[in-house]
Amino acid sequence: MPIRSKTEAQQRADQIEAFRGELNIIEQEQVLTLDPNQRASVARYHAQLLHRLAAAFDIDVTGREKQLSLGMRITSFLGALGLAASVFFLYFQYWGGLATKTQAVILVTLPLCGLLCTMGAVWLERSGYFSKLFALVTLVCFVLNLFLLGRIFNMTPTPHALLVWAVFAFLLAYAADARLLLAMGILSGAAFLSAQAATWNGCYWISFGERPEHFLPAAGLLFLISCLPHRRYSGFAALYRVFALLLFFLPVLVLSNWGEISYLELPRERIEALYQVAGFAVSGCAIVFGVLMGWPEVVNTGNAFFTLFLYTKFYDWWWEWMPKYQFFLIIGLTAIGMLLMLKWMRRFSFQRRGEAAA
Amino acid sequence: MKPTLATSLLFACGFAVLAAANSLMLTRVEDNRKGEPDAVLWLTERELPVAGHLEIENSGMALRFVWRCLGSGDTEVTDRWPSWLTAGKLQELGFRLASGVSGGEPRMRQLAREVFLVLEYNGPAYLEALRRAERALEKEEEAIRANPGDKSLQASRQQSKKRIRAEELSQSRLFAIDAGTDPRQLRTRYSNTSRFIIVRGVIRLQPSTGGNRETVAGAIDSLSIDSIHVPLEYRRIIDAFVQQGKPQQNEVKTTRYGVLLAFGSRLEPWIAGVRAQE
Repeated sequence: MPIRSKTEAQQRADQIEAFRGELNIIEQEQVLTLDPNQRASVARYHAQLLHRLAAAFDIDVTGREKQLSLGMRITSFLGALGLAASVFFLYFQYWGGLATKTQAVILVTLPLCGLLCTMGAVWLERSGYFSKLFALVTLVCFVLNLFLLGRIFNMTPTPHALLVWAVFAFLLAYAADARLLLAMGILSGAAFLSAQAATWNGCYWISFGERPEHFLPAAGLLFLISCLPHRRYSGFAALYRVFALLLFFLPVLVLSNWGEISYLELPRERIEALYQVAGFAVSGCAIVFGVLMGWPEVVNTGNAFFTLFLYTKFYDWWWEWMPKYQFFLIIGLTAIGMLLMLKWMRRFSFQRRGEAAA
Repeated sequence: MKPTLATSLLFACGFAVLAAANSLMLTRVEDNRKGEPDAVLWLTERELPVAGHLEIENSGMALRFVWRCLGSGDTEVTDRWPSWLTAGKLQELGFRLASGVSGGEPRMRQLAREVFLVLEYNGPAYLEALRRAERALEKEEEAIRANPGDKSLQASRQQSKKRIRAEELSQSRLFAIDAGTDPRQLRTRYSNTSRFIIVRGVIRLQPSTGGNRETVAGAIDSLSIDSIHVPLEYRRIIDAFVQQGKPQQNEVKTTRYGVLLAFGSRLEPWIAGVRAQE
């Protein structure tokens, strides 16, 4: 099977390590013993494969390497944040003393240089730590670029800047395989779509957050994007799904409590009831669908929101008149009930896997 | 990760996005400033004071638009609630009103809309504001004549005198006098380009409860461009004026500089000159 991404390569390396451990145990318990030739052949094949994978994807072959990698990822993330903030404040500190042309030239040149550095890092360094770091700084430079050009030339604010930032963040995220940039692109793109939805309804685009329904088209679109193949990119599909669910559930949660800010021309109570039902139904479906498809992030998000919807309802119904010990008892018993339900679903999923294996 | 052809394409697209976004923005700036400006007028520090340095470690300078409106009361000058923003005008601007100014249920509240506002500089609206300040003083004096011993009325009279002096010397003479959805129609109606500015602004419905029913009134929320960046060549001049003539405490602030402001075809402003204000 061809290995196309770092994630797949890492999974294969982990599988080999697990196989070696399991083989040792099986041999100690004398269930199976490989003859020296077979053992040497398997070891040679694994060594060659690991060498090839490490050369192509810079994966971690041992546990110690994995720990070091985690430390490097955290350092790279902090470094990127620090550098991005530094560029931002450096420019603000000195831009007042620069002539307009110089300001414009610096603003246009900064993201170009950043993009060149990112490109160089992607080409020269296989691990991707530096490319991710440069990519984040480049995105910040580009945000600064458009934002400050707008301020210098007194331009009317427009939602199209959000679209351009989103497109650029997506390009960088896919080029550098960076999930943080993908998240930024998703947020910026969702803000643009929501602002557009507000504009289509005749409202001022900056007010888009005042009607939670503006976020629903973005949620739908993100879910559709998550269905596209993302094998080369580690965790991208999961990130799309999580943001799609957040952009659906958060507005629904708000509308299920404050129906007066909805577009629906129905009595407030009916709007709230409608969104409560939608919240319960979709979060329940998300749990089942996530289990069936093997998407843990969908199960977890569905679970978290199902609990939130349930607890906000409990609060509405019982907080005022019920003694607090009874209220919290119900909360605890509900949690146990949900635990039992999830356990049953887990067993069901395990049985399905067993049947599929048979 | 091994770079592939797809990665190269992504970077090529990245460069294209950078180039396209910047060239589009700079073309828009050039379009705005090309040809005859939509309005050119000298404003003063009263209408364009230096915006406070809100952001720490920000060396840029901006001038903030200060504008006012005539309210519906006979002595009232407000900064948000113009008397001309009636139910009919709100409907003309695209707001849906159930009956008159009634917004019906609170959930029917509508979001803000971006419209075009007409700002008048040093015209009849400003003269009316001055008259209103004088009328307020007359009312105070009448009240004192009726109740000579009332000390609070004496203090109110002092306030009214200060208000007149501030109207004459330091308050903004820029008044929002009309709004519409078509800037060309507004320019035809207000054709004097050295007195009337047409700018984008945001109007919002503000609910209030009176008796058993909820009513709404229109309010100007903000201008879409509420401050103007000061380029370095003008910044030095404004800095010099501001440093020279710092007002003493309790002294009415006088105007120290004038700014020649031009508005282009896209109604976006820029500073075209700065001078000392006598």
